[in-house]
Amino acid sequence: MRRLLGGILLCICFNAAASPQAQDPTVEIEVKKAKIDALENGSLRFLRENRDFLRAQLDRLRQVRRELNGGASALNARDLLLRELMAGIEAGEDSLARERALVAQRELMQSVSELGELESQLDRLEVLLGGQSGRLDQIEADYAGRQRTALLILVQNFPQQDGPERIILEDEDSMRWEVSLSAEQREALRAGGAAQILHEFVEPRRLHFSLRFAGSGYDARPAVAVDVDPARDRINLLSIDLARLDPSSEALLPVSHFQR
Amino acid sequence: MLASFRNLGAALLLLGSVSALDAGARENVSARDGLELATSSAHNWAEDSVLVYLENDDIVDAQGSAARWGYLFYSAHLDRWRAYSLSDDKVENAGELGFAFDAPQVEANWIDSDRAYAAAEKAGGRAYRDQNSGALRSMLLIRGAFGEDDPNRTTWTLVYDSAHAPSLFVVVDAENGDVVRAWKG
Repeated sequence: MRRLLGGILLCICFNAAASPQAQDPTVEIEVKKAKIDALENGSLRFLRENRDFLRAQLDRLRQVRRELNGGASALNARDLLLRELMAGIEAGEDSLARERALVAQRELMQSVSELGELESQLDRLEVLLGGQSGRLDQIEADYAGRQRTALLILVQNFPQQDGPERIILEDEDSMRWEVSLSAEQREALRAGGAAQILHEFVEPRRLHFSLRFAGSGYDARPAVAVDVDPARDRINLLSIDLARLDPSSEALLPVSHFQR
Repeated sequence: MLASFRNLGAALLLLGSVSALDAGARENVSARDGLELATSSAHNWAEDSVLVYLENDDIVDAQGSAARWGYLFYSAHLDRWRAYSLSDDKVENAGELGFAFDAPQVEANWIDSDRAYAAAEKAGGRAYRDQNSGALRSMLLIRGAFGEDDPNRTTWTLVYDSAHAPSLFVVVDAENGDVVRAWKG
């Protein structure tokens, strides 16, 4: 779609959070040039130079494939394993509930043989619990083995005088995250609080964002470039200190970057 | 919470500053060496993305290794293609392909670039280079496009160039390392 529009991106901004706009249903439409997150020239050179030939080869392939393929897709081994584990956990829960109910129903031991039955039931409970524990270990191991790179951007502190009413973060693909700050939230920031601007999985490469502020005289302030090189498979936290933010100054803002 | 962050020994940076890139020589690696990072990156872009194409982004050495490899992924959910160019175990560049490239997912068990390179050299690549002062220009992994009699096959295709002779193409089966065919053109 973006290609069909010839690189023109329509960006519709709803300012519902701010009280004046909440009463006025006006929709602000901003037309911007799309930032094409293009691959640099040195990469996949053969593919780009010979794309017509390769696509022609693949076009032939697709026709053959439709005749041979009944539409089935490859099974995902991980999904199958997780489904199996979940089914096992559910079955185990049913068995545990039944055994617990049986144990609870015993009000009085009628004979020594019943004591033996109780022991057997407790043994079965132990086995069932062991099975559940093993399945949870497998799920935990699967999760731990699939760590992903995440980025969390926070702002902390706030100018003592009027601060911005909105904070707008934009990435290289023109994706926007906008946070509106109420008077109470701004006061909380002044008192040393923090506000989350972004929390996303990201590619483990150098990322470029721009940070803008709006409201209370901040609209004309130039955007601030935010570059971050997130550590792979970690949660990366970027904390931006707004205490010295000034609408008439382009002074740099202190940023802390750390990983967990 | 913020106080605890400070206790972690956070490094103080300044917005707008750009850190210098490492200027050292880049290490040559095989194509598979970067696969995990490329796949991890692609899954952060789109969970359902699959590898559909792979190509050297830098000169291939005599061991079938290169300082940079480019990996192309496709997401059926997004119906988009995204490429990752890796060197030094880092994503050096990532971006949209800019055109549709409807290649199927490559098979998972493809042989690494060193084996494919050795097979192609043995099947005429080395002789071509020696006789024509040529060089290996590209090696690419794709499924179907060069399969000919078996469209399900994933193949490495190695393209040798020379100023004095037509290019040499050597297609290697990416499952077993057999040379499927070679031709000049």
